[in-house]
Amino acid sequence: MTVRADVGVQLGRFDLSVALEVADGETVAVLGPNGAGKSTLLRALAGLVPLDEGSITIDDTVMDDPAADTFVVPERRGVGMVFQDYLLFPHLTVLENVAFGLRSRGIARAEARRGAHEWLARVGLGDRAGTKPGSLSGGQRQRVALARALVTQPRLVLLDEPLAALDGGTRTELRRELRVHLASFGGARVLVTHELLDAVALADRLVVLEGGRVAQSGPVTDVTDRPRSRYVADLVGVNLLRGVGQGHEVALGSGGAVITADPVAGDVYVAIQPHSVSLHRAQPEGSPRNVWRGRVRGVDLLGDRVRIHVDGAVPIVAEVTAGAVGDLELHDGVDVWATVKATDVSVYAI
Amino acid sequence: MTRRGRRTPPIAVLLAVVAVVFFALPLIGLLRRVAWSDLLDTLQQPAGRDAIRLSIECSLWSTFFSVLFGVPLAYVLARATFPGRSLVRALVVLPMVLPPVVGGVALLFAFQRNNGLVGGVIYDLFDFQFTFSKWGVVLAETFVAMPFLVITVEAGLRSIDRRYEEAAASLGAGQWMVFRRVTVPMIGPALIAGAALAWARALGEFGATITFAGNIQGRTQTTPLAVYNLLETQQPVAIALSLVLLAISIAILVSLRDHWFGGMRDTVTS
Repeated sequence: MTVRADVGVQLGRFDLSVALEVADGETVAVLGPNGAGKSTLLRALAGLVPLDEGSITIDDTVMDDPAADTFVVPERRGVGMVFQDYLLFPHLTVLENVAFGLRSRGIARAEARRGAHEWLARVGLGDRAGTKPGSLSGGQRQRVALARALVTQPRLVLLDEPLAALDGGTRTELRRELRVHLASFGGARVLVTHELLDAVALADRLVVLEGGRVAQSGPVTDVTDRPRSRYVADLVGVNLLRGVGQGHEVALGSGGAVITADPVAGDVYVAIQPHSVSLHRAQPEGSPRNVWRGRVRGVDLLGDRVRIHVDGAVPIVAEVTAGAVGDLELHDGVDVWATVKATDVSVYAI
Repeated sequence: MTRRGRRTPPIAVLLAVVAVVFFALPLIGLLRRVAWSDLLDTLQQPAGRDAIRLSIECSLWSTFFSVLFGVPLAYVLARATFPGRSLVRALVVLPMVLPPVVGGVALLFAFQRNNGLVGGVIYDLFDFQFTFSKWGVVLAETFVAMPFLVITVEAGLRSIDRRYEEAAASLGAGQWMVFRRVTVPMIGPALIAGAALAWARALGEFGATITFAGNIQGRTQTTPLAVYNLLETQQPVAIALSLVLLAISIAILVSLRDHWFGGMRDTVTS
């Protein structure tokens, strides 16, 4: 393990308590809603916020341990950081920005410039070395910020929402580039994001933060396949229900029940993909084991698909085609029947 | 400009015109009396020459000391939290509103050789006294000028995004490096404005200087003191010196235009 952190930070009434381990060559994405403590976690790792409890160790060096009164200042941690709005020094040229970290380490000007040039060329900005950051586009700034953080070969690189400030096309392109650059860098990386796509594309492991605590963590597919909180479920776009299993049935708190293909027992989560839910205006006959009555309580357009929120004993979201909406006259207040095959119901213990 | 809609009340326009005339009249009065043809000769008079030389030397020293001590003071006021910080700031700003002559008297009781708070000790140790010396002028000027630098730089420090400093630290820069390569360049305009204001204030200093340092030609008689002295005896020299001070003031005003009036101009034109 390269980075071993047990972060306890108190900021007014907010407290963050997160354990995190990141190995060399591994990317961990920290995902969470606004105010979950993602940025605070990064700032603690960088040494910009001292710990109140716990400890941070990087490569067997204790960086922060309030109990032992140890605190290594940010400039001595060897941690590279890419800030959300990049924070390129506006008064320095692009080259000087990238050379900054090398100069700070006492490397001679000529050598620092050479190293900076090399990295600028790597991110495709060799020809912009002499310009000020103010004249760069968002994507170019992001590349400079990445070069500036990686040129010093940090042991740990922290990326705070590195793609958040970019628009669609640039974002996709930069995401792909970021993947390449991160892969070429041997150290540990921690990526903060609130976009599932960034996390899935860039990370090996996910840590979901909610209210300053780890809500869920594990390999990316484990987390997305088996969400354990409303936040993750919404992010993945899956129906998440909670109930008590007995035999082939899960009794929900709301009074409804979900029939499962395999026998279940105890407190469980039930995950159902919206596209597995079919809607009918009359009570259907047929094989689906789950048939629930409800009333349409919202219609969201999602590209050429439509998400229908159905309220009832089993509250559920169904994804249907735009054509189906017209045919079935699905709009607010309409009574419908929702059906789901038992084999499409995923159940896992809490 | 509002071509349609509510108009400016005529009474306000009238009073404003009176105020503008009030500001313009003295300026016209002074300029009317300048003997432009022998201006340079007049300034070559010993009293005038000495005064200008001393003024420039002392005001530059005073600006130097204001920056040397004022920037760290502004940094501490902007960044450190300690009990009594607002008290310290009040103390620092006091010379801006204190009648300069009171400042001069206060300086006397602190730095004069006889019965000064520390003046006697300094004299015993170094055989040196501020009063009646060039350094007394510098001390008096620094006392009244430094507050302008401190509040301007402090405001500059408060207005910059501190995360740039954090970014620099995360890149391995120590505190001094961060200050030198990030903080100072980012507060550059405020620092220049503060130094210019301090310099202007030092250059025009009268009350504290005459009270504390004295009024000896070639030693402590700066340009404002000389103007006051020569107005009765050598009026052309006094007028010429006034013109020099006016020219410098205008130059400073022009150089600070963007810093102080840039924002205002924008709102007017938009």
